[in-house]
Amino acid sequence: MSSSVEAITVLSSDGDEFKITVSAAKLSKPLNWMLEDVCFSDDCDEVPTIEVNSKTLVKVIEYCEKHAPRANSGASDSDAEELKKWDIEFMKMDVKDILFHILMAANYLHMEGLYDLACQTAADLMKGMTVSQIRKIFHIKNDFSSEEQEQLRRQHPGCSFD
Amino acid sequence: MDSDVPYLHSDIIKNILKRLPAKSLIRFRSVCKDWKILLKNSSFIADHLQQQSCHQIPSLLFECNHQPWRCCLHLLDSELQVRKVHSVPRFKGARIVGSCNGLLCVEINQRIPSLLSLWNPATSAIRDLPQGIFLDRFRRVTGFGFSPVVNDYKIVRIYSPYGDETPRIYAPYDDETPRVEVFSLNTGSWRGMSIENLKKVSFKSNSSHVSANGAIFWLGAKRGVRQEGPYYLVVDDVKVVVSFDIAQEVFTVIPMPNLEDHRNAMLSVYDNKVAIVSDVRVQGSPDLVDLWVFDEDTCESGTTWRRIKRYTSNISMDLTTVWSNAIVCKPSLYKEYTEEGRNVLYIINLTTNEFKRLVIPYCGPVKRVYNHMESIVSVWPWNGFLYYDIERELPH
Repeated sequence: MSSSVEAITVLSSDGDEFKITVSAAKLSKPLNWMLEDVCFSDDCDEVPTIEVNSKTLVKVIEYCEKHAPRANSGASDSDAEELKKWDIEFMKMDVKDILFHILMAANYLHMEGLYDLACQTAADLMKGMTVSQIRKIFHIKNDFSSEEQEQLRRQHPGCSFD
Repeated sequence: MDSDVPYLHSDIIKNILKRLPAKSLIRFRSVCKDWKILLKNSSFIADHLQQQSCHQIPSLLFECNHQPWRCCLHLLDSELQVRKVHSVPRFKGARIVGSCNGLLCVEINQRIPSLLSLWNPATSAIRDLPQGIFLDRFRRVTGFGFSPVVNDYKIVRIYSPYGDETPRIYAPYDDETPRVEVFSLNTGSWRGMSIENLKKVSFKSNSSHVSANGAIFWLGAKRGVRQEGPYYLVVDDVKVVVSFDIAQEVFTVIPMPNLEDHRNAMLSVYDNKVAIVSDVRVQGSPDLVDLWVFDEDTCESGTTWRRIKRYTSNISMDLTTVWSNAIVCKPSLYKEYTEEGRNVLYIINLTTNEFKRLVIPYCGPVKRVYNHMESIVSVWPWNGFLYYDIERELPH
Protein backbone atom coordinates (compact mmCIF):
# COMPACT_ATOMS: atom_id res chain seq x y z
CA MET A 1 0.00 0.00 0.00
CA SER A 2 1.25 3.43 -0.84
CA SER A 3 1.86 5.83 1.97
CA SER A 4 -0.48 8.52 0.60
CA VAL A 5 -4.16 8.42 1.47
CA GLU A 6 -6.59 8.00 -1.39
CA ALA A 7 -9.78 8.99 0.35
CA ILE A 8 -10.62 11.03 3.38
CA THR A 9 -13.59 11.04 5.68
CA VAL A 10 -15.48 14.18 6.54
CA LEU A 11 -18.50 14.90 8.69
CA SER A 12 -21.54 16.84 7.51
CA SER A 13 -23.23 19.42 9.72
CA ASP A 14 -25.83 16.73 10.51
CA GLY A 15 -23.04 14.50 11.83
CA ASP A 16 -23.04 11.92 9.01
CA GLU A 17 -19.75 10.55 7.71
CA PHE A 18 -18.83 10.90 4.03
CA LYS A 19 -15.88 9.60 2.04
CA ILE A 20 -14.33 11.82 -0.58
CA THR A 21 -11.33 10.97 -2.71
CA VAL A 22 -8.29 13.18 -2.39
CA SER A 23 -8.33 14.22 -6.02
CA ALA A 24 -11.98 15.26 -5.71
CA ALA A 25 -11.34 17.16 -2.48
CA LYS A 26 -8.69 19.20 -4.28
CA LEU A 27 -11.48 21.01 -6.19
CA SER A 28 -12.22 22.91 -3.00
CA LYS A 29 -9.61 25.25 -1.56
CA PRO A 30 -10.62 24.84 2.11
CA LEU A 31 -10.66 21.04 1.74
CA ASN A 32 -7.28 21.20 0.09
CA TRP A 33 -5.89 23.19 3.02
CA MET A 34 -7.40 20.63 5.35
CA LEU A 35 -5.57 17.91 3.45
CA GLU A 36 -2.32 19.69 4.06
CA ASP A 37 -2.95 20.61 7.68
CA VAL A 38 -4.89 17.77 9.21
CA CYS A 39 -3.50 14.34 9.74
CA PHE A 40 -5.59 11.85 7.85
CA SER A 41 -3.69 8.72 8.71
CA ASP A 42 -5.42 5.84 10.46
CA ASP A 43 -4.02 6.53 13.88
CA CYS A 44 -5.53 10.04 13.86
CA ASP A 45 -9.15 9.93 14.90
CA GLU A 46 -9.98 13.54 14.23
CA VAL A 47 -12.60 13.79 11.48
CA PRO A 48 -13.07 17.28 10.07
CA THR A 49 -16.59 18.70 9.92
CA ILE A 50 -17.90 20.54 6.91
CA GLU A 51 -20.70 23.01 7.64
CA VAL A 52 -22.94 21.64 4.91
CA ASN A 53 -25.97 19.42 5.52
CA SER A 54 -25.90 15.77 4.43
CA LYS A 55 -28.36 16.11 1.56
CA THR A 56 -26.29 18.92 0.02
CA LEU A 57 -22.95 17.30 0.76
CA VAL A 58 -23.96 14.19 -1.20
CA LYS A 59 -24.55 16.36 -4.24
CA VAL A 60 -21.37 18.38 -3.76
CA ILE A 61 -19.28 15.20 -3.47
CA GLU A 62 -21.00 13.75 -6.53
CA TYR A 63 -20.01 16.87 -8.46
CA CYS A 64 -16.42 16.75 -7.20
CA GLU A 65 -15.92 13.09 -8.06
CA LYS A 66 -17.27 13.68 -11.58
CA HIS A 67 -15.15 16.75 -12.23
CA ALA A 68 -11.95 15.65 -10.49
CA PRO A 69 -10.39 13.59 -13.34
CA ARG A 70 -10.80 16.48 -15.76
CA ALA A 71 -9.60 19.15 -13.34
CA ASN A 72 -6.50 17.15 -12.50
CA SER A 73 -5.40 15.97 -15.91
CA GLY A 74 -7.18 18.15 -18.46
CA ALA A 75 -9.44 16.47 -20.96
CA SER A 76 -10.31 16.34 -24.62
CA ASP A 77 -13.11 18.37 -26.16
CA SER A 78 -15.42 15.41 -26.31
CA ASP A 79 -14.99 14.89 -22.57
CA ALA A 80 -15.76 18.55 -21.99
CA GLU A 81 -18.87 18.21 -24.11
CA GLU A 82 -19.96 15.17 -22.14
CA LEU A 83 -19.27 16.91 -18.85
CA LYS A 84 -21.42 19.84 -19.93
CA LYS A 85 -24.33 17.52 -20.60
CA TRP A 86 -23.77 15.87 -17.23
CA ASP A 87 -23.79 19.31 -15.53
CA ILE A 88 -27.16 20.12 -17.09
CA GLU A 89 -28.62 16.85 -15.82
CA PHE A 90 -26.99 17.35 -12.45
CA MET A 91 -28.53 20.80 -12.05
CA LYS A 92 -32.08 19.67 -12.69
CA MET A 93 -33.26 20.43 -9.19
CA ASP A 94 -35.76 22.57 -7.38
CA VAL A 95 -34.75 25.94 -5.99
CA LYS A 96 -36.72 25.31 -2.81
CA ASP A 97 -35.36 21.85 -2.47
CA ILE A 98 -31.62 22.11 -2.72
CA LEU A 99 -30.25 24.63 -5.25
CA PHE A 100 -29.81 27.43 -2.71
CA HIS A 101 -28.03 25.04 -0.35
CA ILE A 102 -25.67 24.06 -3.14
CA LEU A 103 -25.03 27.74 -3.89
CA MET A 104 -24.06 28.38 -0.29
CA ALA A 105 -21.96 25.23 -0.07
CA ALA A 106 -20.09 26.04 -3.29
CA ASN A 107 -19.47 29.57 -2.06
CA TYR A 108 -18.27 28.33 1.33
CA LEU A 109 -16.08 25.61 -0.14
CA HIS A 110 -14.64 28.00 -2.78
CA MET A 111 -15.63 25.75 -5.67
CA GLU A 112 -15.64 28.13 -8.61
CA GLY A 113 -17.01 25.73 -11.19
CA LEU A 114 -19.94 24.56 -9.11
CA TYR A 115 -20.64 28.09 -7.91
CA ASP A 116 -20.84 29.46 -11.45
CA LEU A 117 -22.98 26.56 -12.53
CA ALA A 118 -25.39 26.98 -9.62
CA CYS A 119 -25.62 30.76 -10.08
CA GLN A 120 -26.38 30.29 -13.77
CA THR A 121 -29.02 27.67 -12.97
CA ALA A 122 -30.67 29.98 -10.45
CA ALA A 123 -30.62 32.83 -12.98
CA ASP A 124 -32.20 30.65 -15.65
CA LEU A 125 -34.95 29.68 -13.24
CA MET A 126 -35.59 33.29 -12.18
CA LYS A 127 -35.66 34.74 -15.69
CA GLY A 128 -39.35 34.26 -16.19
CA MET A 129 -40.53 34.67 -12.60
CA THR A 130 -42.91 37.35 -11.40
CA VAL A 131 -41.93 39.84 -8.73
CA SER A 132 -44.00 38.08 -6.07
CA GLN A 133 -42.47 34.68 -6.88
CA ILE A 134 -39.02 36.26 -6.46
CA ARG A 135 -39.97 37.77 -3.12
CA LYS A 136 -41.20 34.39 -1.94
CA ILE A 137 -38.07 32.39 -2.75
CA PHE A 138 -35.70 35.05 -1.45
CA HIS A 139 -37.79 35.80 1.69
CA ILE A 140 -38.15 39.43 0.72
CA LYS A 141 -40.88 41.74 2.00
CA ASN A 142 -42.32 44.41 -0.27
CA ASP A 143 -41.01 47.48 1.55
CA PHE A 144 -42.26 50.12 -0.88
CA SER A 145 -44.89 52.47 0.44
CA SER A 146 -47.96 52.92 -1.72
CA GLU A 147 -46.71 56.39 -2.79
CA GLU A 148 -43.38 54.90 -3.83
CA GLN A 149 -45.14 52.19 -5.80
CA GLU A 150 -47.23 54.85 -7.53
CA GLN A 151 -44.11 56.87 -8.37
CA LEU A 152 -42.31 53.81 -9.74
CA ARG A 153 -45.31 52.95 -11.85
CA ARG A 154 -45.34 56.44 -13.32
CA GLN A 155 -41.61 56.36 -14.06
CA HIS A 156 -41.64 52.91 -15.55
CA PRO A 157 -44.99 52.18 -17.11
CA GLY A 158 -45.72 48.51 -17.15
CA CYS A 159 -43.82 47.80 -13.96
CA SER A 160 -45.62 45.43 -11.65
CA PHE A 161 -45.49 44.81 -7.94
CA ASP A 162 -46.87 41.31 -8.04
CA MET B 1 -41.43 23.91 2.91
CA ASP B 2 -40.49 27.55 2.50
CA SER B 3 -38.70 27.72 5.79
CA ASP B 4 -36.16 25.29 4.36
CA VAL B 5 -35.01 27.77 1.77
CA PRO B 6 -31.94 29.46 3.19
CA TYR B 7 -31.26 33.18 3.08
CA LEU B 8 -28.57 33.88 0.54
CA HIS B 9 -25.68 36.20 1.16
CA SER B 10 -25.87 39.42 -0.85
CA ASP B 11 -22.73 38.48 -2.83
CA ILE B 12 -24.46 35.32 -4.02
CA ILE B 13 -27.59 37.29 -4.96
CA LYS B 14 -25.47 39.76 -6.93
CA ASN B 15 -23.73 36.92 -8.72
CA ILE B 16 -27.08 35.43 -9.75
CA LEU B 17 -28.64 38.74 -10.77
CA LYS B 18 -25.77 39.74 -13.06
CA ARG B 19 -26.60 36.70 -15.21
CA LEU B 20 -30.18 37.77 -15.81
CA PRO B 21 -31.21 39.52 -19.02
CA ALA B 22 -31.91 43.26 -18.79
CA LYS B 23 -35.62 42.65 -19.29
CA SER B 24 -35.91 40.57 -16.10
CA LEU B 25 -33.78 42.98 -14.07
CA ILE B 26 -35.99 45.89 -14.99
CA ARG B 27 -38.97 43.93 -13.72
CA PHE B 28 -37.15 43.04 -10.51
CA ARG B 29 -36.51 46.68 -9.61
CA SER B 30 -39.86 46.59 -7.88
CA VAL B 31 -39.01 43.59 -5.67
CA CYS B 32 -37.78 45.75 -2.78
CA LYS B 33 -35.77 48.88 -2.03
CA ASP B 34 -32.48 47.02 -1.64
CA TRP B 35 -32.80 45.46 -5.06
CA LYS B 36 -33.86 48.74 -6.61
CA ILE B 37 -30.72 50.40 -5.25
CA LEU B 38 -28.52 47.47 -6.28
CA LEU B 39 -29.89 47.42 -9.83
CA LYS B 40 -29.01 51.09 -10.23
CA ASN B 41 -25.60 50.75 -8.65
CA SER B 42 -22.87 51.61 -11.12
CA SER B 43 -20.52 48.77 -10.21
CA PHE B 44 -23.36 46.25 -10.46
CA ILE B 45 -24.33 47.68 -13.86
CA ALA B 46 -20.72 47.32 -14.98
CA ASP B 47 -20.57 43.70 -13.73
CA HIS B 48 -23.81 42.91 -15.50
CA LEU B 49 -22.58 44.44 -18.74
CA GLN B 50 -19.30 42.54 -18.51
CA GLN B 51 -21.11 39.25 -17.85
CA GLN B 52 -23.55 39.82 -20.71
CA SER B 53 -20.88 40.82 -23.23
CA CYS B 54 -18.73 37.80 -22.39
CA HIS B 55 -21.45 35.18 -22.32
CA GLN B 56 -24.33 36.41 -24.45
CA ILE B 57 -24.64 36.94 -28.15
CA PRO B 58 -25.91 40.45 -28.79
CA SER B 59 -29.21 40.96 -30.52
CA LEU B 60 -29.51 42.50 -33.94
CA LEU B 61 -31.43 45.74 -33.95
CA PHE B 62 -32.93 46.70 -37.25
CA GLU B 63 -34.53 49.86 -38.35
CA CYS B 64 -37.20 49.53 -40.98
CA ASN B 65 -39.53 52.04 -42.45
CA HIS B 66 -42.70 50.76 -43.92
CA GLN B 67 -43.99 54.24 -43.19
CA PRO B 68 -41.77 57.19 -43.88
CA TRP B 69 -40.76 59.28 -40.86
CA ARG B 70 -41.39 56.51 -38.43
CA CYS B 71 -38.57 55.08 -36.41
CA CYS B 72 -39.61 51.45 -36.31
CA LEU B 73 -37.26 49.10 -34.48
CA HIS B 74 -37.14 45.35 -34.10
CA LEU B 75 -34.76 43.12 -32.18
CA LEU B 76 -33.65 39.75 -33.45
CA ASP B 77 -32.16 37.62 -30.68
CA SER B 78 -29.66 34.79 -30.96
CA GLU B 79 -32.50 32.26 -31.13
CA LEU B 80 -33.78 34.15 -34.19
CA GLN B 81 -36.88 35.42 -32.42
CA VAL B 82 -38.10 38.84 -33.52
CA ARG B 83 -39.47 41.34 -31.03
CA LYS B 84 -40.68 44.89 -31.55
CA VAL B 85 -38.89 47.61 -29.60
CA HIS B 86 -41.29 50.05 -28.01
CA SER B 87 -40.45 53.31 -29.57
CA VAL B 88 -41.17 56.66 -28.11
CA PRO B 89 -43.48 59.15 -29.84
CA ARG B 90 -40.85 61.88 -29.68
CA PHE B 91 -38.50 59.76 -31.76
CA LYS B 92 -40.79 60.05 -34.73
CA GLY B 93 -38.61 60.82 -37.69
CA ALA B 94 -35.46 60.08 -35.71
CA ARG B 95 -32.41 58.28 -36.97
CA ILE B 96 -30.21 55.98 -34.97
CA VAL B 97 -26.65 57.22 -35.06
CA GLY B 98 -25.02 54.44 -33.11
CA SER B 99 -25.47 51.59 -30.66
CA CYS B 100 -23.11 50.77 -27.81
CA ASN B 101 -23.54 48.65 -24.66
CA GLY B 102 -27.32 48.84 -24.86
CA LEU B 103 -27.42 52.60 -25.35
CA LEU B 104 -28.61 54.14 -28.59
CA CYS B 105 -27.55 57.55 -29.80
CA VAL B 106 -30.55 58.99 -31.63
CA GLU B 107 -30.71 62.08 -33.82
CA ILE B 108 -34.00 63.87 -34.33
CA ASN B 109 -33.55 65.64 -37.62
CA GLN B 110 -36.95 67.18 -37.93
CA ARG B 111 -35.97 69.95 -35.63
CA ILE B 112 -33.49 72.62 -36.59
CA PRO B 113 -30.97 72.47 -35.14
CA SER B 114 -31.28 68.75 -34.82
CA LEU B 115 -31.40 67.18 -31.38
CA LEU B 116 -29.26 64.31 -30.11
CA SER B 117 -30.55 61.97 -27.41
CA LEU B 118 -29.15 58.99 -25.58
CA TRP B 119 -31.72 56.28 -25.15
CA ASN B 120 -31.70 52.94 -23.39
CA PRO B 121 -34.70 51.13 -24.90
CA ALA B 122 -34.61 48.43 -22.20
CA THR B 123 -34.90 50.82 -19.25
CA SER B 124 -36.71 53.47 -21.36
CA ALA B 125 -34.38 56.13 -19.97
CA ILE B 126 -33.76 59.08 -22.25
CA ARG B 127 -31.30 61.92 -21.94
CA ASP B 128 -31.37 64.87 -24.32
CA LEU B 129 -27.94 66.21 -25.07
CA PRO B 130 -27.13 69.90 -25.13
CA GLN B 131 -26.60 71.58 -28.49
CA GLY B 132 -23.17 71.14 -29.97
CA ILE B 133 -20.73 73.95 -30.69
CA PHE B 134 -20.98 73.88 -34.45
CA LEU B 135 -24.26 74.12 -36.28
CA ASP B 136 -23.45 72.95 -39.78
CA ARG B 137 -25.72 69.94 -40.05
CA PHE B 138 -25.10 69.02 -43.67
CA ARG B 139 -21.47 68.11 -43.63
CA ARG B 140 -20.91 66.02 -40.64
CA VAL B 141 -20.41 62.44 -39.61
CA THR B 142 -21.16 61.23 -36.12
CA GLY B 143 -19.73 58.42 -34.01
CA PHE B 144 -20.66 56.93 -30.64
CA GLY B 145 -18.60 54.61 -28.46
CA PHE B 146 -17.33 53.60 -25.04
CA SER B 147 -13.84 53.46 -23.57
CA PRO B 148 -13.22 51.19 -20.59
CA VAL B 149 -9.99 53.11 -19.94
CA VAL B 150 -11.79 56.29 -18.94
CA ASN B 151 -15.13 54.55 -18.25
CA ASP B 152 -16.92 57.07 -20.43
CA TYR B 153 -19.18 57.17 -23.46
CA LYS B 154 -18.40 59.77 -26.07
CA ILE B 155 -20.11 61.15 -29.15
CA VAL B 156 -17.89 62.59 -31.85
CA ARG B 157 -18.96 64.81 -34.73
CA ILE B 158 -16.57 65.57 -37.55
CA TYR B 159 -17.33 68.53 -39.79
CA SER B 160 -15.55 67.82 -43.01
CA PRO B 161 -15.12 70.80 -45.33
CA TYR B 162 -15.74 68.65 -48.37
CA GLY B 163 -19.49 68.52 -48.07
CA ASP B 164 -22.10 65.96 -48.67
CA GLU B 165 -21.20 63.72 -51.57
CA THR B 166 -17.56 63.31 -52.32
CA PRO B 167 -17.20 65.98 -54.96
CA ARG B 168 -14.54 65.70 -57.60
CA ILE B 169 -13.60 69.33 -57.27
CA TYR B 170 -12.42 70.37 -53.85
CA ALA B 171 -9.31 72.34 -54.30
CA PRO B 172 -10.62 75.33 -52.34
CA TYR B 173 -10.96 73.23 -49.21
CA ASP B 174 -7.67 71.40 -49.26
CA ASP B 175 -6.06 73.64 -46.68
CA GLU B 176 -8.98 73.69 -44.31
CA THR B 177 -8.67 71.79 -41.08
CA PRO B 178 -11.74 69.78 -40.16
CA ARG B 179 -13.48 70.78 -36.97
CA VAL B 180 -14.40 68.14 -34.47
CA GLU B 181 -16.62 68.26 -31.40
CA VAL B 182 -16.70 65.63 -28.69
CA PHE B 183 -19.42 65.06 -26.12
CA SER B 184 -18.55 63.15 -22.97
CA LEU B 185 -21.36 61.46 -21.07
CA ASN B 186 -19.49 61.93 -17.80
CA THR B 187 -18.86 65.66 -18.14
CA GLY B 188 -22.14 66.31 -19.92
CA SER B 189 -20.66 68.87 -22.28
CA TRP B 190 -19.20 69.32 -25.76
CA ARG B 191 -15.63 70.27 -26.50
CA GLY B 192 -14.41 71.54 -29.85
CA MET B 193 -11.06 70.93 -31.50
CA SER B 194 -9.23 71.18 -34.81
CA ILE B 195 -7.66 68.04 -36.10
CA GLU B 196 -4.62 68.50 -38.32
CA ASN B 197 -4.28 64.92 -39.45
CA LEU B 198 -7.82 64.86 -40.81
CA LYS B 199 -6.84 67.43 -43.42
CA LYS B 200 -7.84 66.28 -46.91
CA VAL B 201 -9.91 63.46 -45.52
CA SER B 202 -13.50 63.28 -46.66
CA PHE B 203 -16.39 61.24 -45.37
CA LYS B 204 -19.63 60.31 -46.93
CA SER B 205 -22.34 62.25 -45.20
CA ASN B 206 -24.13 60.22 -42.54
CA SER B 207 -21.83 57.31 -43.20
CA SER B 208 -22.14 54.75 -40.46
CA HIS B 209 -19.43 53.99 -37.95
CA VAL B 210 -18.56 51.12 -35.66
CA SER B 211 -16.97 51.08 -32.24
CA ALA B 212 -14.74 48.42 -30.73
CA ASN B 213 -12.07 48.29 -28.03
CA GLY B 214 -12.39 51.89 -26.97
CA ALA B 215 -12.24 53.37 -30.45
CA ILE B 216 -14.67 54.58 -33.12
CA PHE B 217 -14.09 53.90 -36.82
CA TRP B 218 -15.38 55.47 -40.04
CA LEU B 219 -14.75 54.88 -43.72
CA GLY B 220 -13.30 57.84 -45.55
CA ALA B 221 -11.13 58.88 -48.43
CA LYS B 222 -7.84 60.73 -48.38
CA ARG B 223 -7.16 63.20 -51.17
CA GLY B 224 -4.50 62.09 -53.57
CA VAL B 225 -2.13 64.29 -55.53
CA ARG B 226 -4.02 66.95 -57.46
CA GLN B 227 -3.74 66.75 -61.16
CA GLU B 228 -3.22 70.18 -62.66
CA GLY B 229 -6.04 71.21 -64.90
CA PRO B 230 -8.82 73.70 -65.26
CA TYR B 231 -10.96 71.89 -62.71
CA TYR B 232 -8.26 70.49 -60.44
CA LEU B 233 -9.44 67.01 -61.12
CA VAL B 234 -8.22 64.57 -58.54
CA VAL B 235 -7.59 61.08 -59.78
CA ASP B 236 -6.07 59.12 -56.98
CA ASP B 237 -8.09 59.25 -53.78
CA VAL B 238 -7.05 56.62 -51.30
CA LYS B 239 -9.73 54.88 -49.35
CA VAL B 240 -9.00 54.92 -45.63
CA VAL B 241 -10.40 53.98 -42.27
CA VAL B 242 -10.34 56.78 -39.71
CA SER B 243 -10.15 55.75 -36.09
CA PHE B 244 -10.76 57.82 -32.96
CA ASP B 245 -9.30 56.71 -29.65
CA ILE B 246 -12.02 57.60 -27.15
CA ALA B 247 -9.73 57.86 -24.12
CA GLN B 248 -6.86 59.78 -25.76
CA GLU B 249 -9.09 61.71 -28.21
CA VAL B 250 -6.62 61.06 -31.01
CA PHE B 251 -7.46 60.38 -34.65
CA THR B 252 -5.50 57.92 -36.79
CA VAL B 253 -5.82 57.40 -40.52
CA ILE B 254 -5.40 53.74 -41.50
CA PRO B 255 -5.05 52.62 -45.12
CA MET B 256 -7.71 50.19 -46.34
CA PRO B 257 -6.88 46.65 -47.41
CA ASN B 258 -6.32 46.24 -51.10
CA LEU B 259 -9.86 45.60 -52.26
CA GLU B 260 -10.27 44.84 -55.91
CA ASP B 261 -12.26 47.23 -58.05
CA HIS B 262 -16.01 47.74 -57.98
CA ARG B 263 -16.31 46.77 -54.39
CA ASN B 264 -18.71 47.98 -51.78
CA ALA B 265 -17.14 48.07 -48.35
CA MET B 266 -18.85 48.09 -45.01
CA LEU B 267 -17.29 48.58 -41.60
CA SER B 268 -18.11 46.03 -38.95
CA VAL B 269 -16.78 44.33 -35.84
CA TYR B 270 -15.68 40.71 -35.80
CA ASP B 271 -14.11 38.94 -32.85
CA ASN B 272 -13.86 42.29 -31.07
CA LYS B 273 -11.74 43.71 -33.90
CA VAL B 274 -12.68 46.23 -36.50
CA ALA B 275 -13.52 44.45 -39.74
CA ILE B 276 -14.47 45.22 -43.32
CA VAL B 277 -17.03 43.25 -45.26
CA SER B 278 -16.77 43.84 -48.96
CA ASP B 279 -18.47 42.42 -51.99
CA VAL B 280 -17.79 42.36 -55.70
CA ARG B 281 -20.40 42.00 -58.41
CA VAL B 282 -19.50 41.08 -61.92
CA GLN B 283 -22.23 40.53 -64.46
CA GLY B 284 -22.60 36.86 -65.17
CA SER B 285 -20.54 35.51 -62.31
CA PRO B 286 -21.56 34.85 -58.70
CA ASP B 287 -21.13 37.59 -56.10
CA LEU B 288 -18.17 37.36 -53.76
CA VAL B 289 -18.29 38.42 -50.13
CA ASP B 290 -15.01 38.96 -48.26
CA LEU B 291 -14.35 39.54 -44.60
CA TRP B 292 -11.20 41.39 -43.51
CA VAL B 293 -10.10 42.01 -39.95
CA PHE B 294 -7.64 44.56 -38.66
CA ASP B 295 -4.88 43.08 -36.52
CA GLU B 296 -3.09 45.73 -34.57
CA ASP B 297 -0.25 43.42 -33.57
CA THR B 298 0.75 41.85 -36.85
CA CYS B 299 4.02 43.35 -37.95
CA GLU B 300 5.98 40.59 -39.71
CA SER B 301 4.30 40.94 -43.07
CA GLY B 302 3.68 44.66 -42.68
CA THR B 303 0.04 44.27 -43.59
CA THR B 304 -2.38 44.80 -40.79
CA TRP B 305 -5.50 43.74 -42.69
CA ARG B 306 -6.09 40.02 -43.01
CA ARG B 307 -8.72 38.46 -45.22
CA ILE B 308 -10.20 35.64 -43.19
CA LYS B 309 -13.17 34.64 -45.29
CA ARG B 310 -14.38 34.56 -48.87
CA TYR B 311 -17.93 33.51 -49.55
CA THR B 312 -19.47 32.94 -52.98
CA SER B 313 -23.13 33.80 -53.25
CA ASN B 314 -25.66 33.04 -55.94
CA ILE B 315 -28.12 35.59 -54.65
CA SER B 316 -27.62 39.27 -55.17
CA MET B 317 -27.66 41.02 -51.83
CA ASP B 318 -26.54 44.09 -49.91
CA LEU B 319 -24.23 43.71 -46.97
CA THR B 320 -25.34 45.10 -43.68
CA THR B 321 -23.13 43.95 -40.82
CA VAL B 322 -21.31 41.18 -39.02
CA TRP B 323 -23.40 39.69 -36.23
CA SER B 324 -21.63 37.36 -33.82
CA ASN B 325 -20.35 34.67 -36.15
CA ALA B 326 -22.38 35.57 -39.21
CA ILE B 327 -22.56 38.11 -42.00
CA VAL B 328 -26.02 39.59 -42.26
CA CYS B 329 -27.26 40.76 -45.65
CA LYS B 330 -30.51 42.10 -47.04
CA PRO B 331 -31.95 41.70 -50.51
CA SER B 332 -30.53 44.12 -53.06
CA LEU B 333 -32.06 47.55 -53.17
CA TYR B 334 -33.92 46.89 -56.40
CA LYS B 335 -35.95 44.25 -54.61
CA GLU B 336 -37.10 46.71 -51.98
CA TYR B 337 -40.69 46.80 -53.20
CA THR B 338 -41.02 43.09 -53.84
CA GLU B 339 -42.15 40.48 -51.35
CA GLU B 340 -38.54 39.37 -50.87
CA GLY B 341 -37.29 42.87 -50.20
CA ARG B 342 -39.92 43.68 -47.65
CA ASN B 343 -39.19 41.20 -44.93
CA VAL B 344 -36.22 39.00 -45.58
CA LEU B 345 -32.71 38.91 -44.15
CA TYR B 346 -29.92 36.56 -45.22
CA ILE B 347 -27.53 35.17 -42.64
CA ILE B 348 -24.23 33.59 -43.67
CA ASN B 349 -22.63 31.55 -40.89
CA LEU B 350 -18.89 32.16 -40.99
CA THR B 351 -17.90 28.80 -39.53
CA THR B 352 -20.20 26.45 -41.36
CA ASN B 353 -20.85 28.53 -44.51
CA GLU B 354 -24.51 27.80 -43.96
CA PHE B 355 -26.82 30.25 -45.72
CA LYS B 356 -30.06 31.06 -43.98
CA ARG B 357 -33.02 33.01 -45.35
CA LEU B 358 -34.92 34.56 -42.50
CA VAL B 359 -38.43 35.93 -42.89
CA ILE B 360 -39.20 38.75 -40.49
CA PRO B 361 -42.87 39.34 -39.83
CA TYR B 362 -44.59 42.75 -39.83
CA CYS B 363 -41.73 44.77 -41.00
CA GLY B 364 -40.92 47.10 -43.84
CA PRO B 365 -37.72 47.06 -45.86
CA VAL B 366 -34.78 46.90 -43.51
CA LYS B 367 -32.84 50.15 -43.60
CA ARG B 368 -30.01 49.88 -41.12
CA VAL B 369 -28.81 47.14 -38.83
CA TYR B 370 -26.89 47.38 -35.54
CA ASN B 371 -25.50 44.97 -33.00
CA HIS B 372 -27.31 45.68 -29.77
CA MET B 373 -26.70 44.18 -26.34
CA GLU B 374 -29.67 44.90 -24.10
CA SER B 375 -28.37 46.37 -20.86
CA ILE B 376 -29.31 48.42 -17.84
CA VAL B 377 -26.55 50.97 -18.51
CA SER B 378 -27.57 54.42 -17.38
CA VAL B 379 -27.70 57.40 -19.74
CA TRP B 380 -26.36 59.50 -16.88
CA PRO B 381 -22.71 59.60 -15.73
CA TRP B 382 -21.66 56.34 -14.13
CA ASN B 383 -20.58 58.13 -10.97
CA GLY B 384 -23.44 60.57 -11.01
CA PHE B 385 -25.07 59.25 -7.89
CA LEU B 386 -27.45 62.19 -7.68
CA TYR B 387 -28.94 61.42 -11.04
CA TYR B 388 -30.17 57.95 -10.26
CA ASP B 389 -33.68 58.85 -9.33
CA ILE B 390 -34.38 61.57 -11.79
CA GLU B 391 -34.65 59.42 -14.86
CA ARG B 392 -36.91 61.21 -17.24
CA GLU B 393 -40.57 60.47 -17.06
CA LEU B 394 -41.79 59.47 -20.46
CA PRO B 395 -44.22 61.79 -22.17
CA HIS B 396 -47.25 59.92 -23.41
